[in-house]
Amino acid sequence: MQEILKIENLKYQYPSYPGLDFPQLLNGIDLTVNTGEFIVILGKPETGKTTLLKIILSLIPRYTNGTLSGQVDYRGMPVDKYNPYELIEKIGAVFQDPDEQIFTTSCDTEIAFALESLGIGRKEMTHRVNQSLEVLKINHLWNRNPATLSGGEKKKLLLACLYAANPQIWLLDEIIDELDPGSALEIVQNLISEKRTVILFSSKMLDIFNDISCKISILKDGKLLEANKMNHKDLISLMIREGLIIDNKQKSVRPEQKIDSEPIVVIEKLKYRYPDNNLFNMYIDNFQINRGEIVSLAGKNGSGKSTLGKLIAGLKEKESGVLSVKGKNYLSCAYLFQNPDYQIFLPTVEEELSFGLKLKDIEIEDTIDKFKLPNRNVPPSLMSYGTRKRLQAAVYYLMDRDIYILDEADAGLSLKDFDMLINLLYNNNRSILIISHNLKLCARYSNRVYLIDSGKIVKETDTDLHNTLDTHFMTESRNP
Amino acid sequence: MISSTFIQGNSILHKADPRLKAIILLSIVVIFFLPLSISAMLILFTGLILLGINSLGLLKALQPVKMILPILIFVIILTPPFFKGGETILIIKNTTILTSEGLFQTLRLILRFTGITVSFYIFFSTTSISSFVLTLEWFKLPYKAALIITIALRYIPSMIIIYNNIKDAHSLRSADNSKKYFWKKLNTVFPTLVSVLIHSIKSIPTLSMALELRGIGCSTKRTQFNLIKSNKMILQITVSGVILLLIILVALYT
Amino acid sequence: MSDKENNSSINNLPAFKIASLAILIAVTTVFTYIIRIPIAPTRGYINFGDVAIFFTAITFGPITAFLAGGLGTALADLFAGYAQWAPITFFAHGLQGLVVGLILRKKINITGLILSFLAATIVMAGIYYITAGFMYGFGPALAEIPGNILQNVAGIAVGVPLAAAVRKAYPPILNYKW
Repeated sequence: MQEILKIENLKYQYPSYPGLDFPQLLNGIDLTVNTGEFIVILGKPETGKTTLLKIILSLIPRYTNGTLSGQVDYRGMPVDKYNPYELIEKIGAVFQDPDEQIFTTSCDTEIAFALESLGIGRKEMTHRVNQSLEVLKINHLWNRNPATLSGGEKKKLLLACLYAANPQIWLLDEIIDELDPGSALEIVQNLISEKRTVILFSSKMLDIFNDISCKISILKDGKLLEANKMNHKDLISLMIREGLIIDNKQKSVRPEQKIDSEPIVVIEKLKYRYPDNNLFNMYIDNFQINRGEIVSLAGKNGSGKSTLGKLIAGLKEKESGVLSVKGKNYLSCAYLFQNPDYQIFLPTVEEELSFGLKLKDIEIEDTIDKFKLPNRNVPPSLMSYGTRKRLQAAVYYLMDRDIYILDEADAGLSLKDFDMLINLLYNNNRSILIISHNLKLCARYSNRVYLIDSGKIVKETDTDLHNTLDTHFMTESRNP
Repeated sequence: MISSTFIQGNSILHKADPRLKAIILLSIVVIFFLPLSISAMLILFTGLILLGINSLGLLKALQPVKMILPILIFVIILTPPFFKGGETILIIKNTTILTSEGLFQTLRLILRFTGITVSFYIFFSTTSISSFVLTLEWFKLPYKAALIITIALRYIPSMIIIYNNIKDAHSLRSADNSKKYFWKKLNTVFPTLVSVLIHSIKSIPTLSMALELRGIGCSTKRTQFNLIKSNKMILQITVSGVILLLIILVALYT
Repeated sequence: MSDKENNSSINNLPAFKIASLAILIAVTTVFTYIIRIPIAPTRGYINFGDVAIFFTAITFGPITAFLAGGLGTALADLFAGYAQWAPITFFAHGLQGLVVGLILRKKINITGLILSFLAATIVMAGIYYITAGFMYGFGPALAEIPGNILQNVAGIAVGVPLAAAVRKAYPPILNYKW
């Protein structure tokens, strides 16, 4: 066991822009990693996990200016003396969004890509590619186009790329969430038994971390706090405060719902045929949201929950059946895509908020306050991800729609921020439909949850019973 | 699916080496521009159509002809007036509509244009785009260019999905449904395009980072994992050679 | 270890150039093949390929516009079933992007815009006219010219405002020229 990565007093702050100041993100990170260690760094969104990862990979300050100080040494050599392309066999990474790292149209080519860069001979390459496919149990995907893979399969593909390149340190950014529990445990146990050096970043405390031998640290306020240096009770309460564990005992986060008996969304015997999916068609027998109610729609990836949401919002046309949405405007739905950037296009926060509306100054200031947005003259595209999500919510909030459909809207937001958004959007009596694969999240805000699978509503139930629901139901569907 | 020109099949052309197909394709284009007789062109053209039917079936083989029909009609109408030499074939009310030279030139243009169109169509329907890129590389296209094209091909389908999502997101923002269709469309198109462009451009540095992490920029000479799969090369080369010879003989048969 | 590149010029990195070209080609292909506006019930559609080319020329420069414009539109031709035009399209639109990029390189003013529009139209419509002429006659080839002029009008009318809007909404793009 020897020291392979040493981070000393690392500090970093993103460069400011007029009106947009970023806080001191990393404020003295100390971390020593020995070979064979499995390190888990937990932190709520926007605490600097991905930034830390990029600094280790020598991508910052290469791609982003800002104030950087401190030491990051790989085997005694400062990491910023390397170009990123020299790190293939030293430090490897899997990013949070797999689409950012996939650039070929065939899985085996993707795995071989880094090996081609290293100038490895074809025989050796083929051997390594086959071996990697074998280890991750994705042999059957060898000539598939990565675009046709499910989220979890893409993560496995990227892990296979690392296996083939065989770096000394593995940096994994949020890979566990999309994998089904069985695969996740197997992959992690493999890495540990092979004595690989791994740093895994996660924004949630997961059961799997209790089952393996690893060192857990929490990234908070720019510093790393080691879990084994805290007593158990303090650790748990810290995790709850940071939103790393969802604790629904405090039901007070939930807005008090004034539910009308009048339904605002009614669906009966709805049929919808997917244009290029032959696996299943959508058939919804019964679905209802009452005015003033917060309802959840839960299902694994690929179950049809987004499609149902889009049908309700009018973005897709039903084939037959009843779908009635009552509201005061012509458009009564707001559909918040998971990606908040889809409708951002104006140069300032102020313009985004007031687009299509006549707003008084005071209304703009009030909204900026409520949603914790920065200065009104800041370009939205430069704001952090979480801030852009809050802007997206603010824009729809001002449009004053009757129903708010949130599609996996909690991704990238701290739990506290998401609590705030739900309360703001609810605004006393709007209806909200929360679409998520996380039952605990659904239970946090809604009384009723619809479970959907393969385009059909499987169950409608009271969320207080969510613990008794089959958790395997929520694992990822397999795409052919 | 948009980024596929490839039509599945098991014909000879599907299995043929793409490099040979490319060479034959180029030769066909060159030959069509030589001063051939109409009968030579007809034979060549028929051969191509037969090849198309063999590879793709009758319906698909005629698809390219259907697509250029408007242009062919233009050619039929606009060529004879410019070529009034030779014997008169058609007169209506004392105006010469069609002469033998006009007929000759028209047929020539139609056969040439349709022939070339069909050839290209057959080539791209029987060759996957990745084989095509490998072929270009074999013809000395620089590695970087091939990589750029491959990555672009990977991004096109997802960009289409993102464009549709962005279009949806913008359509939800505007509550105004009273304006005329054209202006409303233009009004939502512009913001949509701005969002699409911002989204795409933001992904450039991210992609650049990912590429660097996989070794782009390394000075080591790159090796190649994918090869052009070729069976029975000697047979293929012989057959292609014979075919080219036949075509040239037919061409000389003036 | 090789020399470290200067962090203020990521647009000089090979990876950056590859990335920007790949993305801009994809953008051009999607704009050409997917994004269309009907002009009138009978007239048909304008595609937005030329819009993408003007945009790329202004924001990224002449070389990028040449490569991205040429390859992007050529790929669109392949997918649309007009493979026989692809090599010609590459030059017609590639050179279109090149001239616009060269003319509007320093700054954008009225003279520049008029000049670039004229140059773009002459180059693009001209190349198409000449090659179409050889292909199926110079008479019939005239039929394409009005449409091509209209494409360039759309290109400059939408492409230039787009470039301005994107620059304002996303300032870092100013550093991406190469």
